[in-house]
Amino acid sequence: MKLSSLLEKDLILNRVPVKNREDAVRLSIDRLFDKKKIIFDKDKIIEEINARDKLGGTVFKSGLAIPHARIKEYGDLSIVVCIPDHPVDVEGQPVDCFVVMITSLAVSNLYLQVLAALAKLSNDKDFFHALTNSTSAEAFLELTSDKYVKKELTVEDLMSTDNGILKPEMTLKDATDIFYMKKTSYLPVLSEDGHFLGELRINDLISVGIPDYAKMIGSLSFLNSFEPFEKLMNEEDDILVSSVMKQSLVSLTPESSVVEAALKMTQGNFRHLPVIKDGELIGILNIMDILNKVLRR
Amino acid sequence: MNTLMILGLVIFVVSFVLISSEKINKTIIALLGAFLFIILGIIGQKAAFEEIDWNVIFLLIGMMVIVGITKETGVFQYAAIKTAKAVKGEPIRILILFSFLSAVFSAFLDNVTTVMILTPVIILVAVELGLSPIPFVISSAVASNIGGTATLIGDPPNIMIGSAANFGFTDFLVNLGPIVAVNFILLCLIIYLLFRKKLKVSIERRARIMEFDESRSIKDKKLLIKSMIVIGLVVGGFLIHDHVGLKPATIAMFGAALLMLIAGDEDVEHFFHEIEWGTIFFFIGLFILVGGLVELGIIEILSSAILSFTEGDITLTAELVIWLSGIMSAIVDNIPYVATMIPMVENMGHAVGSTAVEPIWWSLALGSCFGGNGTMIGASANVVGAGIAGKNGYKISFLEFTKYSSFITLITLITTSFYVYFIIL
Repeated sequence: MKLSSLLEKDLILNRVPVKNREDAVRLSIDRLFDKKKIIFDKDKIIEEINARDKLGGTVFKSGLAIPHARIKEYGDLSIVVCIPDHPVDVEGQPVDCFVVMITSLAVSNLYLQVLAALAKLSNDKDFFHALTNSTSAEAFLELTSDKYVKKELTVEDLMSTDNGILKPEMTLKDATDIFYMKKTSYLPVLSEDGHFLGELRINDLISVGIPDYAKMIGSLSFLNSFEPFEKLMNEEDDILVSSVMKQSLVSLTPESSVVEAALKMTQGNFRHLPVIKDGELIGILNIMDILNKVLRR
Repeated sequence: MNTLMILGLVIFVVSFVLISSEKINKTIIALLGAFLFIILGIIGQKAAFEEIDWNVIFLLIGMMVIVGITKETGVFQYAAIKTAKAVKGEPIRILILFSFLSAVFSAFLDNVTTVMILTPVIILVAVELGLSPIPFVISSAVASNIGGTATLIGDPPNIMIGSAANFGFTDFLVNLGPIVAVNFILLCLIIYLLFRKKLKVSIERRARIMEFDESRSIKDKKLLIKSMIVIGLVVGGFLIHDHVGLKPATIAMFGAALLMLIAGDEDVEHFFHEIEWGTIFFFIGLFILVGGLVELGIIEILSSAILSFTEGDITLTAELVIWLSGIMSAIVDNIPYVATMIPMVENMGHAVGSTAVEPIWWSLALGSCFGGNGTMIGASANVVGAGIAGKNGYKISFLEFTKYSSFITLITLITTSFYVYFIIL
């Protein structure tokens, strides 16, 4: 779907004098109510947008801000673009472009795809600069005319690509350090030439510290003093990642849908899943990505 | 011998060897062999299904459910820790008392279940004491095989023999209890002499054991009380089942159903997960296979061969059965062995009378249960115990295990020979 077919000429405000975020939201909603016959309570909508903004995550480093609200009975997706005449400071971040959106809960899928497309476009610095310097609505639409909103939001849109990695010949000490530094609970294991070999979860690492017999007893609540990590501490220099890493039995592809990812993660109780294409690791999906980029965006 | 007999015998022997080699899952082999028998017309389907001893099947299922629910309460761990603390962490006493616990538990639980529950706790205690867990693990496995011999439900061969010979729970206790007690005392004596000097630990290590808080190992107190009530009822039922004309399977299944009801979880599948379906179907396959051999007349030939060899002398036959069973059980799985021997003893019963054949039944039970200790692979409990130790970094080699266990087996089989000669006969 073309991005431009979701936008309307009348709902693009170019180079308007705006002092702050509230101004931009107020101006955008006023325009929406002017041009469309909307029967909702205007103040209520603004209130919803402000409430959502308080949760954070609506301002991007690229200079894009997306104040938005999901209103139960709102039967449509409305997008108002508001480009201030000079960058506006929002929480210390200069914002060049506000995209105010109102959607019902039902059409959220499309709205998420619009968000993903906008976020992606704003990362293209030259394009975003041209967009925010467009002088008319027509020019703005012209610029976006060859930009598409993907039909389905996929794992590729949510996953992260800047994760730490392990090599099979690393020791558990190295692995523990990387887990600690990256503040993650999942690390993929790659071969020297970059092939995806398997994965190490923090649970598997910590599990090394618990002897097998203790696992078989099941509950160790009767032990008041026990040094569970004795083995791990003593042997972390000798145990190699290759001996504790696991084969990745469940994985995603970049084309996997969000619902497929959510199903796999919840059913298998995974917090992270590798995203694999042709045997190569191209990213990692964290279950928090689903929270941050789907449920609360 | 006709072609069908030879074919049947070949299938049976191949199945038996494959089952004992444990290269392929034994349940699959037993089922394949059994249904091959039916396909080849060695035994008809109706007759084959009638060969399945449902008294054995339901007794196993009932006990598996009861034990499966009870072990979730943590009561067995509680007993083990309580024991270790009761002797103030004194290692030789712990070693002997853990063997005692293994023997007592396995008189009522399956031997493998006993070892799977106790071995991890035993290793934990040994590690905390700073001792090698290996003597503890071997003693516990060997003791579980000895203790399991004492009761009808203690060991699968006894379940099968009890059902076939129509022996009740108390019959086993009265006839086998004394020799089991004697052999267990001998086991303790041997353990004491072998390890007394080797097991020395510091006060600090012993203090660690005293720090354990066994009361916290009970995970579900309410369920524990319910389990204990049901187990009490079931054991009571076992003690009187002969007098009220009920079979042990009925007692066990009723107890299982009752415990499932009062355990309060309505998801019956959860309880049925406790049933080892592989074992159940292994028995089903075996019953059909052995039924096929009976049908072919092979069993009759073998049993009359034994009787003609011993010239119908019951004493000689009993002693022969003890040693044959002892040696066979040390090498092959004793369950298919006993399943094959049962119709043979039944045949002997037809020849000499059912009272006269009784000592042969007891000889079969004693020889095959004690014989399991002959080698590390002779009994599943040994394999499982050594396997758990190995997974924790304490590898027990076949020879090291067998060195201890075969010596004990030799002694138990000798005492058994005398016991059967002087007491049973």
